[in-house]
Amino acid sequence: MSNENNIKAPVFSYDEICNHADHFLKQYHPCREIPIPIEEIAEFQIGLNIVPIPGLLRAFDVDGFTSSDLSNIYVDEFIYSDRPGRYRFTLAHEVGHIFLHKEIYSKANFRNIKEWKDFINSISEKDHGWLEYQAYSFGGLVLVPREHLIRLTKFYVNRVQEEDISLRENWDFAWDLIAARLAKDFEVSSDVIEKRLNKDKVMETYR
Amino acid sequence: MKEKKLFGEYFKASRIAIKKTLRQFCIGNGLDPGNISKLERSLLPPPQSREKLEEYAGYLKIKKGSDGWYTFFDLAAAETGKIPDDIMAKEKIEDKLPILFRTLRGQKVSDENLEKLIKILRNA
Repeated sequence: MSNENNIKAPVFSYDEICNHADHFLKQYHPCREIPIPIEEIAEFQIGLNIVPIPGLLRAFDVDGFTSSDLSNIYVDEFIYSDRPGRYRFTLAHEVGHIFLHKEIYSKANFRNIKEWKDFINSISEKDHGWLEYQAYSFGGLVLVPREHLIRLTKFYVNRVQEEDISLRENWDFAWDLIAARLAKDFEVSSDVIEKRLNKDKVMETYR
Repeated sequence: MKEKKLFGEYFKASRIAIKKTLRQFCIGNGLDPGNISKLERSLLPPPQSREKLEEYAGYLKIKKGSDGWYTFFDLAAAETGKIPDDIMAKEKIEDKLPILFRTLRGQKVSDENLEKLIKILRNA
């Protein structure tokens, strides 16, 4: 096996990733109740092993990864035990790779360590960026279903206004507050919520 | 022919039957998830001590004297403190390596660190 694996990232638009996430929820969590039980889905329904690894983040600057045979998700032990929101997102992100990038995993038939190194180094930076973007989007869409995001945002916007905080005059402050409350409901970080509020143009509807 | 079940597989199936994820199960019972995960993947042999096995059976809500109870102890005894040979033969490090492995900033991981990762995964 050489560096000529022709590993190309599939091209998915954001809408297509939305459809994949929607299909995933239909299959594994049709009631769509939040917080999405991603750990239970990964272990009980997909049958993955979740393996905590001490020092993964510190040594490699990596939160988690999936084994080439798609049987294990390895997660940094500190994130696994002490950062529930980030842990949940790591799982959703890795499940995203498993569902969106199966074809790439199926090409990973390396017979030795050298072939493995050649394989992972053959993925260009651009393609790697695409793959990560897609898994990141998938993770956010699965953990934060759009209909709940819209409904709960509306609820918190009303709450903020009831507290006599003008959304227009205190735009950044108000949205920080709303994102923090949404993050709690979905059990994800505020970062994930902020990205979704922007990407799905939810904030724009309140301008 | 029906494939023989391993102690680890039975342990995992029993945990899933009580609807506990590995993390929930270990937090609830003060266990180390890394070790329990290895036990479930048959990378650690079942404990030799009867006391330890009874403790685990209790955590898994396996009723004393039930069929499940006997299966649990029989499977542990069959493996006699060893990792089963077929697991040793099947376990290929290449299968456990990541194929998408970059830092959070998207940078390639150095060769030295890749070797370090292999070492970690051999023990994970």
